[in-house]
Amino acid sequence: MKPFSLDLRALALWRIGLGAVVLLDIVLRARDLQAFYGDHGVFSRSMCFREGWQYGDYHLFLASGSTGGLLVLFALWALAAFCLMIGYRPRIAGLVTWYFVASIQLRNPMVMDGGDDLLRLLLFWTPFLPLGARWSWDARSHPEWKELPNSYRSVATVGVYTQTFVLYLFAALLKNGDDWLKTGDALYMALSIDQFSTTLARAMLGYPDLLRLMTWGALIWEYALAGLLLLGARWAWVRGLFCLLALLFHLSIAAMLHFGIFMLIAIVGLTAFVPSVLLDRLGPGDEGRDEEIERPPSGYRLERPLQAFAAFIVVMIWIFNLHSVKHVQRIPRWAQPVMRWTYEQQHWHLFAPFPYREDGWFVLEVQKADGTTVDGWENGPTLDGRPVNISARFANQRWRRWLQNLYQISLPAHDLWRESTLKFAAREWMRHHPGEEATRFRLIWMKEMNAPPGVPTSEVKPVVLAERAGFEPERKPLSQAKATGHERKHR
Amino acid sequence: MTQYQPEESELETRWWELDLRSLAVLRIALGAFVLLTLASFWGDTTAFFTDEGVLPRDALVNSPFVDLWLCFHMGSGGWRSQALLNGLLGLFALGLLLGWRTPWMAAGCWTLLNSLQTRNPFIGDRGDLELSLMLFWAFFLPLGAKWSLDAKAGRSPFGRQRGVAAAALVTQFGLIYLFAAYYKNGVFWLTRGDGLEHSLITPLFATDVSLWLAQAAQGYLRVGNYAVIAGELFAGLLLFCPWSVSLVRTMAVAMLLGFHLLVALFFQLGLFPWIGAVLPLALLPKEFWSGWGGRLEAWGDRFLGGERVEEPVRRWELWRTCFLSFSLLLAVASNFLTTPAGQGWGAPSWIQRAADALRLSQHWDLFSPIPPYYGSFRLAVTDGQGKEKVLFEGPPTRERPDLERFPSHRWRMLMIATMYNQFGVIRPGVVRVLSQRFGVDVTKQGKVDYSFWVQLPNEKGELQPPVQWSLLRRDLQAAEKT
Repeated sequence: MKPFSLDLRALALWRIGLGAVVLLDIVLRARDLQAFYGDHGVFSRSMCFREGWQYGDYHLFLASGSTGGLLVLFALWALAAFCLMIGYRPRIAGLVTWYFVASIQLRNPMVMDGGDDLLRLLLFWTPFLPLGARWSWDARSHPEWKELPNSYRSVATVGVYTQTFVLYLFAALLKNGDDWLKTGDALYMALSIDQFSTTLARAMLGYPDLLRLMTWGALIWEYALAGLLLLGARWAWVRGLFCLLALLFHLSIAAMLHFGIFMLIAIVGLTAFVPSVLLDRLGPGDEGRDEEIERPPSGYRLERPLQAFAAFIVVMIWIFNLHSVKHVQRIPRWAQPVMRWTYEQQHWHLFAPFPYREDGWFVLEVQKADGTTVDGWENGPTLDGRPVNISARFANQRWRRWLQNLYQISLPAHDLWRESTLKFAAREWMRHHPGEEATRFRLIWMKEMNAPPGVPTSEVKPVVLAERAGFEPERKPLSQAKATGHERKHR
Repeated sequence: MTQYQPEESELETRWWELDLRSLAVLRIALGAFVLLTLASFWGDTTAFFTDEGVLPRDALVNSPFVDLWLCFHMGSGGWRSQALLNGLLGLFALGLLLGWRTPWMAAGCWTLLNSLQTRNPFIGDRGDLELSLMLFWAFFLPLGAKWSLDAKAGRSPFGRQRGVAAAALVTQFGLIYLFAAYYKNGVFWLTRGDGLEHSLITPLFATDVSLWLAQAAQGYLRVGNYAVIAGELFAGLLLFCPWSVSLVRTMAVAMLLGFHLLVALFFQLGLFPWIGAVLPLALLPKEFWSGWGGRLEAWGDRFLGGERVEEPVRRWELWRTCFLSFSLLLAVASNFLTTPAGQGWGAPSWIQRAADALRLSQHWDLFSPIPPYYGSFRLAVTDGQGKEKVLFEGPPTRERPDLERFPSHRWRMLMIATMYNQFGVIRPGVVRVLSQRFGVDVTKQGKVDYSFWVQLPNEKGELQPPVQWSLLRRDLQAAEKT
């Protein structure tokens, strides 16, 4: 096996997986289309313009703030992802999909998590690889492609190796706080974050000694994954072992913490490394004999400028990651244009250098006209008491990230975001409770500081993020609020 | 190369039929007009489309004029991205003009042109509207079947020269003139018959020729007034005539060509009259090309290539026909719904929304029912010592021929929009940017006074002494914040 080579069938699996996971991401995001990307949501275009909250030079998803316009963009995005999945012009489809993914992330970075970063970074390599060589729409009309050997290597395969390698290596390297290296309480602290924890995680908190062992085990596991991938670049059976261990690693995280589709994306990312011996068992082998066919799949023989560019990006991946070790978020000035144009910026601070302590839950306090107060998100009669399952209070992962960022990130626009969140939540409450009159709304973060094993958790402290006496009961229908086409266009 | 064999060529042109050579002329004209439209913004990209210009994105999205259409020009507030998008539009237009991958180029032009118009709806005129509408219908027609790179390469065209698409294009032209005639009602155009006279003397649009004509032919203007209405009505009806199509349609095209050339002579309307004059050439029947236009065809074949391509076997024909029929109904409905009768009809709102979504909403009240005002703008600043400085005063009137002209036709449309209270959102930006053109930063000056001095006609149509419409008279910083 050539070092840093990948199997064309594994790349096909990778392509199908990436396309499918993007389609899933589109569907999940579409549930909150107006909330997170629309003009009537928590992060309207007006707020973007007013606060200068912009990263990058151009934002495709600022093209519309209406539901219809956003749906058109989402449909185009889904079309590109579908083409990628079935392997119809996969290089172009991959490029377009990557652009849409990067654009939606730029539109509202406040709802992102590490999985979004990983998805974008993996998609970046799709235009550089012959993803249509096997199991694709394009391959149906090119039977001669079966003559190509399954093993494929280029600077782009080095890029895919590098991206995955740095993910595990730097995720381990950055875990350099005392929780990870000295006390071993990191896993306990991570599982204590109720905003993420599953039932299994909460059950495991009863075994702090076991979790201490597991903390060091997880750290070693991450280092081992990086090492196995490096060795797997040369020996296929090591790569198989890497895939198995990485799969178990991600599944165990998914069992303990709610991270949306992060772990699914990571598992899809592994499919590129499935060794040939395993793929041979999936179906009849297509092992080719002649590499010199006249019209190979697009991307099979990468043009020299693209090779040079891909090599440059491999170097930049290292530079971006090395900078993250110093906990310096600011990228050097000379590298910033690369970051802006390729959006290859990355850092893998996953519970690193240590899991954060701030935790708690969010309450939409609704004061009704009769003087009673209710929790608008639970529709319960009282605000007393700690919810049993805090992570289940979030509508989904995007809302979890948005609400967490209302207190985690310190930016001048913070107050505006809190206000817009309260406004949106209040209007949603009023929409679902017609006939009920509310006199006051408050968005409250019931702050709780997690503590290591044996130390009592701090008392819950309510922090009012935003409050307002009242809102208009219903926003005007769009047709009334906006000028008609006649007024707009023809004066 | 596939030799083109015209179907049923022995028959006279039917109403739902267009000629491939005429469609090639339409394609070249559309490409050229999109390029000319871009040229009309030249030098004003920052002023019209960026956050530093007259309409920052924040002001637009918070105004009632934010459009539901996808506006790719909203993706950035800087001039580089705007220039890049306009450059891309220019490439699409060039591709359309040359007939390279024609359907894609037409779709690209239509999408980005509408995006551009949506970014700043206050600088547009009906020429922009007509261009957008024609690009929409043209997408479904075989524009690249003749005199194109597609024809040279043997690429089959997308649309068909006969059928719903052809009928839709003819109908669209007919709607423009029928409704332009319909709206010329009321006191000026019908009761007193001085609509033409007021149009000819308005400083906002009139040329020197029209001012001369208004004096020299004063006794005939009333006749001319009604002749304009009759001409528009007649041309519109000719286009709908199903008999003797070749003769009738050639007459209609000639009438429209002449009419719009006269409009270009008498009024400063940017590209509008030229668009109105050239695009109807798409309706020239095949008999024209086999007769008088034979030489033109020979000339075209010599310089642009004589290849033609055959229409391909159709797929999705039923869907395409249904979509086009629906779109055509929307276009017709859009015209009816903006008439007083249509507004009272209580049509479902989805019709207008669907027309908006497909960019088919239209309204052809050209200089009607009220002709443009007679007056001029005045922009002055007063410094801390109370000293007033006039930055702009214009356009020239009969009484004050020394006044300045509008900086460009786009600025003319923009400043005219500031006259209307419902478009007040753009006044602060217009004042700020216009002042910057004269080297004054009005945000740092004391007070600004932007007004329109208008002479309104009395009941007899006689112009009264000027009165001032104050458009913006306060501290500009406060105004923009408001």
